[in-house]
Amino acid sequence: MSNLDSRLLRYTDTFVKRFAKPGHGEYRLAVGGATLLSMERDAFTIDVKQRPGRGDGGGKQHTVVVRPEGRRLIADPSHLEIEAGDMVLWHAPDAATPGFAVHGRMEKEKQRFDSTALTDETVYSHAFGLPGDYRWTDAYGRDLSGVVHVATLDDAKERTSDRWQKALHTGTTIKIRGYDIEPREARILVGQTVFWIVEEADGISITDARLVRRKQPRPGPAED
Amino acid sequence: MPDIIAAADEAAATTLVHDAEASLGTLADSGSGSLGPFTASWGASASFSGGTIDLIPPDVIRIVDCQMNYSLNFSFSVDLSDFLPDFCLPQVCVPTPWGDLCTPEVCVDWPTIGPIPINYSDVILFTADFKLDVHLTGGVWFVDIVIDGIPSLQISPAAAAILALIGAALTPFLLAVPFIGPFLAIAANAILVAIGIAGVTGFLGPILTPFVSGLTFNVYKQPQLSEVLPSGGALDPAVNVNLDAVSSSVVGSDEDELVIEVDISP
Repeated sequence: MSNLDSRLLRYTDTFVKRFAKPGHGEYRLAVGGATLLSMERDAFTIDVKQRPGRGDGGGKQHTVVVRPEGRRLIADPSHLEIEAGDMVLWHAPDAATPGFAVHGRMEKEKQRFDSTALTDETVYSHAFGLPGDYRWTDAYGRDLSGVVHVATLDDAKERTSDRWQKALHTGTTIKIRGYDIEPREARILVGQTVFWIVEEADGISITDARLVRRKQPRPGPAED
Repeated sequence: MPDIIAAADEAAATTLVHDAEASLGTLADSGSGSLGPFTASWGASASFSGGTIDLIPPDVIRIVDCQMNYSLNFSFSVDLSDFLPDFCLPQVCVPTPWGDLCTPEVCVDWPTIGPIPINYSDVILFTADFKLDVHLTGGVWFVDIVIDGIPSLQISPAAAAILALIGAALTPFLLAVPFIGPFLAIAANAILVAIGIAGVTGFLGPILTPFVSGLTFNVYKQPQLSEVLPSGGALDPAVNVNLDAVSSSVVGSDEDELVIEVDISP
């Protein structure tokens, strides 16, 4: 059963949001899938500060670890202070962590950031564990799709294993700008990671087409 | 002097025993046992047929190459973390329009696979001596033959076949494990080595042996109160006799015979 679905992040996935403008943001972690089965009432926060003289170049990366604590999910650190232009990456290193989503909003511009509906300057990454052809699409019905061909190894000889171990360090990127997708077809080895870099979008998902039964409604505004 | 004597030579005794084997039907049992380092739940059934009868005075019926036809189904689970090395996906870095982005290292949690189902059927030949046992139970005389001791069952060929079946059954479960990639052969080999022929033999023995331990075939039975003439009407009642005593032995003269003697009274 494929788990390629940006709407439900698992331990081999990451969600990244670039915060281009200063402001205060809050987000919550949802457990259980595209529909919000449970939400943590306590919000986690991000303060984005502007450093004078900073151009619009590359920013730093900050990592938030999502982990289960009892019956809830917590973000570690629970509060981040970053600079405009920095990126924040959410991931759950523990395989026992249930599938989750990040739902947040910047206070000032009311701009949402949501792992279930990817918008401008977000990234979704997925490491493919099983060989096969994975046709991905937007679960919300937009005409966006592509294919990732995941090849198995030819044999189990040691040389192949060394080659494979090296290949795992290499990622493949797929850029999405509106309806432009580059490349539409990607070829990787099992175990490698694909990064969907969403430069411009209005709330899309990266979902294995086999998981999409009918057009899904886009998620509504994040709860206060 | 008994009132009735019935004698069966080895050919007739063979028919009696083969019929008795069929009448026993299929025996069934279930449980759990050790399959090498694993615990397996199992169900088994067995029936008996065939064999060559050798009558040995004074009271032994030897069945040579009696066939035990058995079917076995069992299942077990495997925690792959006991057999596979720790494995982590390394950090992966890519350039983005906003700077380099790196995923963290992620360590794979090898799952428990199963339950893996195995089904196997086979025939075992065994030779055993049976002793005559005559008893009156519930108003019925029984002449049984009861196995003497526990015969040695040759289960090594079956053990090898079952180990091969396990290997084949493992494959689809292993193929479904994410990131197993080049570790698949390692996992399969390690699991089979851990079980080994000895493990399968140790698993089979306690399952199959109870089917032959105390094995009993009934070669003759008759109600103690037996009707010898049916009723001819209201004024002509049935004629019954009492079987007061029944005994059985193997007698050797010019040929060996299974003899059943019956004392009756009106």
